[in-house]
Amino acid sequence: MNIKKLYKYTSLIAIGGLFFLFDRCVEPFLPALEENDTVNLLVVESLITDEPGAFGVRLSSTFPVYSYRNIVNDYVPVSGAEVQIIDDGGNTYLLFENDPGWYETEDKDLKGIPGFTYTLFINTTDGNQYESSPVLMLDGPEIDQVHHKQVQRTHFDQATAYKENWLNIMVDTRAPGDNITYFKWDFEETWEFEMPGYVTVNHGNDAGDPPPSWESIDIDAEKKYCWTSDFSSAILIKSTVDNPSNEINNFVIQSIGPPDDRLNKKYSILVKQYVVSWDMYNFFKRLRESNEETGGIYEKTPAQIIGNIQCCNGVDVALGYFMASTAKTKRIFIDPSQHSVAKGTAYGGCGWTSKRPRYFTVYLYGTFDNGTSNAYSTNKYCTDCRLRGTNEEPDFWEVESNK
Amino acid sequence: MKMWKRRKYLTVVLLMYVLALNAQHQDVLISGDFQQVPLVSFIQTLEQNYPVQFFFERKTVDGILISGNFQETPLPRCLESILNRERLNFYISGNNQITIYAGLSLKRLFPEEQQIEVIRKESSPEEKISREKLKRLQYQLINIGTPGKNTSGYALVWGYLTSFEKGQPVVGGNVYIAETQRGVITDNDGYYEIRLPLGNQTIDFSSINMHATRRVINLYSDGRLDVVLETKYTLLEDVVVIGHGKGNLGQIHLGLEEINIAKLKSIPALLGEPDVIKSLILLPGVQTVGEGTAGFNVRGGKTDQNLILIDQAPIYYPSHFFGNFPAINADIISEATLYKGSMPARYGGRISSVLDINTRDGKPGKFSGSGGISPVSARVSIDGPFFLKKSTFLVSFRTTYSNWVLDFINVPDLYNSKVDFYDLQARLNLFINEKNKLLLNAYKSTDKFQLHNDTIYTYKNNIASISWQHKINQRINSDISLIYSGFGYSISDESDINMSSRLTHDLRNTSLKSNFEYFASQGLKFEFGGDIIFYSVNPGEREVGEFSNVRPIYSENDRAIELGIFAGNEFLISNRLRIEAGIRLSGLLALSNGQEYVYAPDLPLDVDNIIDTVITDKNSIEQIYMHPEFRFSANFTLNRFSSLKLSYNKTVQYIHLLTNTTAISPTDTWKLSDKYLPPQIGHQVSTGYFRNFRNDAIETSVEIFYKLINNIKEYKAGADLLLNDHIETEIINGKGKSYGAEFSVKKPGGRINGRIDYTYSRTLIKSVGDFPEEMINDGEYFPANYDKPHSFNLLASLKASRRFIVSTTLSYSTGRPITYPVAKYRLGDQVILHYSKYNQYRIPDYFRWDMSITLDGNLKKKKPFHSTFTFSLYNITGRKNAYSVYFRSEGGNFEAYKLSIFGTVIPTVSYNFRF
Repeated sequence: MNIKKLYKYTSLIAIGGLFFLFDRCVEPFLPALEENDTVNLLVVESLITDEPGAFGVRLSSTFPVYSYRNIVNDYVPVSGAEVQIIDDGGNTYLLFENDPGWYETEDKDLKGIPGFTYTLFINTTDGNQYESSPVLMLDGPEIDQVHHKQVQRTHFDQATAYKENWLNIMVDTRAPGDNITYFKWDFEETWEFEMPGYVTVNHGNDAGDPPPSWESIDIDAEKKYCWTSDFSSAILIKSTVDNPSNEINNFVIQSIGPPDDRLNKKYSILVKQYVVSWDMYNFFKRLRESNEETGGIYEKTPAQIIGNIQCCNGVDVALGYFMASTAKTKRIFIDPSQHSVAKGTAYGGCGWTSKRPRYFTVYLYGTFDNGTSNAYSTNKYCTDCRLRGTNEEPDFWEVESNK
Repeated sequence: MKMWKRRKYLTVVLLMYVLALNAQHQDVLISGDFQQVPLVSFIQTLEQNYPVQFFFERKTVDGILISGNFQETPLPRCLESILNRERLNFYISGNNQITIYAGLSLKRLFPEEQQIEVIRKESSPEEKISREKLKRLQYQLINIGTPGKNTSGYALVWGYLTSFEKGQPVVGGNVYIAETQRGVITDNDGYYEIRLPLGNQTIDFSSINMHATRRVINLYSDGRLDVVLETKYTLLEDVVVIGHGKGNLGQIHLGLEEINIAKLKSIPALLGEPDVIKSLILLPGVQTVGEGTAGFNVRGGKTDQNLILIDQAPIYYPSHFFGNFPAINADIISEATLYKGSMPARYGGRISSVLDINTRDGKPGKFSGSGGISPVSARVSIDGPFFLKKSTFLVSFRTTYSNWVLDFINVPDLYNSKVDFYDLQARLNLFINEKNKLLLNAYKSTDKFQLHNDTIYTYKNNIASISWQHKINQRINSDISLIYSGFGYSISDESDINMSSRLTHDLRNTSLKSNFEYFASQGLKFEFGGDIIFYSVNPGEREVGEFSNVRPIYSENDRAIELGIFAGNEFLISNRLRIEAGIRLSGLLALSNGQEYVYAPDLPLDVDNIIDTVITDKNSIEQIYMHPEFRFSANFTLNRFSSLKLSYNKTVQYIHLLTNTTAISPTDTWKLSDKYLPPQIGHQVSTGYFRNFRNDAIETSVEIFYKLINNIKEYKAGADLLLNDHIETEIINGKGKSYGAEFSVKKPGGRINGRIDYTYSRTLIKSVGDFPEEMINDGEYFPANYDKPHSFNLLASLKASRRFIVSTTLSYSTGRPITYPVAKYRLGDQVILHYSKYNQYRIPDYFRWDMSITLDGNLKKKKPFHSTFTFSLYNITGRKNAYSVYFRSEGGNFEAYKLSIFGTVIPTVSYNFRF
């Protein structure tokens, strides 16, 4: 009898119910949502900062929750609206639709001024008038530092625990004075990546074909080295309410680990820090609770979260927000020598073959055996890094390996 | 020597006979067959064979021939049977001297003396008689009183109901006259009295978990009738939760459920722990928000609207381990009663229900104990005599070894998890004298758990009480108690020295309670008393470590004094109509904690609208609330097998549990009513029709209720309730209404027994406010979290043999309301959900089937160890009952998930023992 197995079964019996207590089960489920319960609401998204640029507003529409449309890439624009922003200095800024749903001032060198109060007005084509609460642009402090720390996380392969190194990227900041300050952050991360040089190549499936083998591939340099970027997609907020010296320490804004390939080569993150009012902070907090923290036994029940846009007619509501804040930025670079996070790959799902399939379109990946054999892939994404990013080095990219 | 001993024994017996005239003493052992023997020679025979001496006038006994066949017949009974026929009286004095005389009974001459001398038996004579004799007693005619001495046509029968095995009083036993459909219930000493017409009467005696018995009496005049009841040792003879036996017709209260503790052990239980509170959920009108969670909802009330009393002391979080384990050891509970409809005036402070749990007294005779072992916990209790005569103690301890078990496993969800709890309960029953008893109780429970991360949660219940039970006279009892109850928790995280902090919440109350009972004739009771509760609640504090960067938060305790005075009386309007009416005057003095926020008038309570912070005198009166609470119940007996009941209750609650999570958690905080938080007020009207079939073997009932709750606490969306010193800005005072019909069929006894209940009920709440932010769903009624219109429960038990019992339960209910998203939209690079109005959808329906098999050890009485094995299967069908449905973003799209607490069948074996 396998001792280990016996041990496992004995302990399973011993823990009896306790095991099952924790064996909560989560499974996909399709609730019956009636189509006519779906609402069609205006969504407003606008942020005014002190960074030079146009004032912009994005107007979109809600979409049925059960549809498969990926609304991050393919949102539903609301076109034809009249949009203006008025400040308490008597200035009126008219915004015009540049792209469907994206409204911008013609002046591309505007700056929000801390201490000014801004109000957004929208008239949509269906005759509804929307208005934001007056928003005071707050002047926030600079970011003290953006730093990173390697941490160990425990993961499980079935019942076996193993540890993985992850990298936490954190932000420190300090608000002047005693007033509780409400922070919000966004980031843009950019990293260098490389197509795999060693790949498993399949040499055909017919009887007598040689088995797949590991090959060292020569690939065109322009398809091999690229940079790509990504934006934060979580609500990153924190207040100094818990800290007597009005500091934020080690607030984790991003955490990266295998199988992600972000940290394989040089990585950079640009952090933007905003300061918002208590109302705005609460809005984001409730938004986060209703979207990221629901379903558990001891979690709050989700609810409708309405921001600071009112519909003047009083019959409808608008979602989203209009926000104004100074933007303080900080960029750091992280080199692979600074951490020992295991390398990952974005190309794990790709297959390469030396035998050109007859019925599919295939793309040449590279050559091996000193250029005598070709490696193909049926997925273009697997053969050209430019499909995931750009091979042009970003302006801010540092040449030296350590800053 | 032998003779001396015997004499002494007889003396004791005779003495007791005198003290308790006309009581049914069976212990004097006279044997012999006398047929047409002159009385004189009979007397001589007795004098020769027994240490007795007779005194009489010759002319009284001359010429009387007697007949009788005695086999170990008690002397008094023997004499009675002979002399009563001849219209002669006798008197047995302390030194075995028997006086026979004609004419007025001495008892009649010195009635006062006899009335006073009601002293409990030193050594219960019932102990000497066999069970067979006890059975036979049911068919013997017992004469009570002296013939011809009563002209009123009525006489009072009084006595004590005790248990055969231990001689303990049978509390709450039923004394019932089938013919007149009248009944009374024994008091805390097992005492009863009932006024009956003279002549032949059949009195039925019964009590939960005891064999019912009856006595056929021939009533001549006032007299005593003590009765012993045998305990049902065979488990599972009756249902888990039973009504009042025959009393369900006679019982005046509506919506009253008594929980049968012995039966509890055979209900299929999760993890093999008999759980009083979980068993309530099988009852009609009791709901829970989901399985595996603490708390229950009674007739549309929130979980904090249930007053849970352990030996009169309130307990604030009566569960271990998130509600999966009961915090009270079922082995030591003597009775548990749930009042969900009418509430006697002596209870107050919560608006929906009272769960009154009493632990049992230790056994006076010998040390005994019980315990059990289930997969993750073990419990043991020991009780017995305590030094002083007739004083007893009882201690119980339970703990878990789940931590030890957790060390053996590596399951992702259990990694870095710890679960630890224990509870300890002790009870001391000090017998001072017949009229005074002191009861000391202590309870302590601690839970400590850590799930998946470095945060350690601890919560504690501490209870101590001392109560003085004093019998002022035969008719008036008093009970005065001093009670302390505390609840507190802490959430600490010390994983990072710079962030270490500990959040605490603490609730303490000390109360003085008094309760006086006056037993009028006809078993009617007048009750009055008062209580005063001193509350001190710390809303939440945060302590931080020495090197911590976290801001410490200190807060002043909120204090308040809750007062209550009550009086309640039972009235017998006619032979058929009985009414209980009561009034309770309750009030709260909310004391200032030193500062007070002033909000701008005509604006919503919002942090932005705080216009001033006023420093006030600490402990000065900030607000006074005063409410009269009326309680009324009526029982109209339609006929021998049916009755109609009606009740109205007003209840007021001054302390509230702040919770906006789906299920209550041990880290919710309690908050006293203050200037901005008015008390919750409940009104309930209910009516019920009760009918028994097949000679009371089957009990059925229909109850209808309608309940209104004012100032029910709801919360703004996403409200933060922890460490919030202006909590009033997050609370919405709502209006709740709840109505429903409960149908119930019970078969309490027999080889196959059980109950079936169906409830249709709705619970709706609406927010009441002047401003849009105080509105939920635009101020319209919305279903409460625990609104489950249809609920069906079945409990059945088959006693296959004396040692083998199979029980099963089936539960079905409509899924609870939930808020679903109705649209999605994009903000930045994130997809956000827009939710429907609050609680507009429902999760899938709930269904569960459980089963248990109980195997009893052998039934020999003399065995030192009595053991029982229970095998149970929880959720046999393995149905993945939804606890909640939630949505998560998956790269621009949403995936819906269903969370089930238990996704499989859960088998458990548990072992219980008694010694």
